[in-house]
Amino acid sequence: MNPQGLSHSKFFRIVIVFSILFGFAWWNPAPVDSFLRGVFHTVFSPVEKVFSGVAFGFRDMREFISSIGNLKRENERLSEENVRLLAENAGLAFLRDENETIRKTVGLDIRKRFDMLSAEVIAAGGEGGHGFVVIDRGSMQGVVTGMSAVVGEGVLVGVVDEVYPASARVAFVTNSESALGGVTVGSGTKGIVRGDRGLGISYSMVLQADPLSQGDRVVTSGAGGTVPSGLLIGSVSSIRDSGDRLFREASILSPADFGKLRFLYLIRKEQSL
Amino acid sequence: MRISVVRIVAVVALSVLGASVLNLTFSSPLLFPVVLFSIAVSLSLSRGFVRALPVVVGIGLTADIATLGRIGLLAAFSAGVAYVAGFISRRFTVEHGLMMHVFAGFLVGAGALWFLAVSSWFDGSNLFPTISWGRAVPAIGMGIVSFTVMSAILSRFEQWLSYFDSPNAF
Repeated sequence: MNPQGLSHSKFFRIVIVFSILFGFAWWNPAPVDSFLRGVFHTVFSPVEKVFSGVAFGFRDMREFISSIGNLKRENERLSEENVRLLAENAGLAFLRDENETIRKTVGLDIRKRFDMLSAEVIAAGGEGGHGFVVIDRGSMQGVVTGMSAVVGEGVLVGVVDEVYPASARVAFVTNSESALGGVTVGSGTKGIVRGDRGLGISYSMVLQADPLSQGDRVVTSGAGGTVPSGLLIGSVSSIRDSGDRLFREASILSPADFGKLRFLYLIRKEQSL
Repeated sequence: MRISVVRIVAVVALSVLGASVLNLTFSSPLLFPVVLFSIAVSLSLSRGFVRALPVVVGIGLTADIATLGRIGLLAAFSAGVAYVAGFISRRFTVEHGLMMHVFAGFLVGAGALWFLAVSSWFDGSNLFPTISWGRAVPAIGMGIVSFTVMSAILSRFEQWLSYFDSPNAF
């Protein structure tokens, strides 16, 4: 094949196009990516809001329909559960007081502690579709990079990593790029909380001598100053030695369902108490 | 001009659909790549690879931006599956209609699995060992269904566009 023919061949074209696109993905220039996403999610934010509203409506309806078939079984299960819970209730009264003390100690009374901004999820993606979400609040509403995103009573779900005029991107704590300081409630064992491919959370760099057991609750340590201390990340579910056996690491189970988040709160600043 | 605007609106709508509907409603990370690659294969088979390539790359890049992934990766894989579809298009067209859907579904499903594995590799983990027939068969099934639906929608869309572009329309 002559050189001109080669330059017009399908194979030559696909090699060039694939190399450029794959090279750009490899390079991953953050300012360019952020700018392009900013333009897209600013211009199409209203459309995304409508689409996401439809999606949440559809999801609720799907869950409702799938639950109809389970009603009878669910009813029987709940009757048994009710008997068991009545017995447990007495014991829980004592634990409630203890829990209240801990909440005050680690500062989980979140609404009194922080000035917060509510936001709604309008898009999701990255890392298997659940590494990031786009929310409907941006720089125009005072959102800045590094704000912590929480749900419920102070459960940390992520950190704002890109801000656009009318929207912002939140990187979940399950994201591979996420890393922040953690500490266990009670024993005070410190470690690094890292995301695991968008699928889970790991707790690493825990010293062998430090106490760590299943069920321990891990909260943010506040190291670095970006994420406030005392936000619940989750509870320790399994513990193992690190590869070099110098440290221990654990899996953390978050109480938040990252695949079903619709509303979350951004922490603007800590209130002076 | 009108047709170009309609095409651009369709591309943007598809990308927003992926990020704001499919990724929010379904937990499967394969779903949107499968839909996107089905469109790439359909375009390559109906227009020919060379004519389809710019459109496929445009759709892929817009989808990359909308779905918050690494920009260029979905586009590169879309171009790849479009090329493979174009390369073996003779087989597609001479085979029975059902086999065409099976071939296309295999291509789309395998492409989506490899996309997920490469995407995870970029993020510092390795999902290549997890690719198995147990995962491939549902992906190929999704690919067959998705290709059937998307090729039908694209065909209707092109018919509607040709009507829309005719001088007497409206």
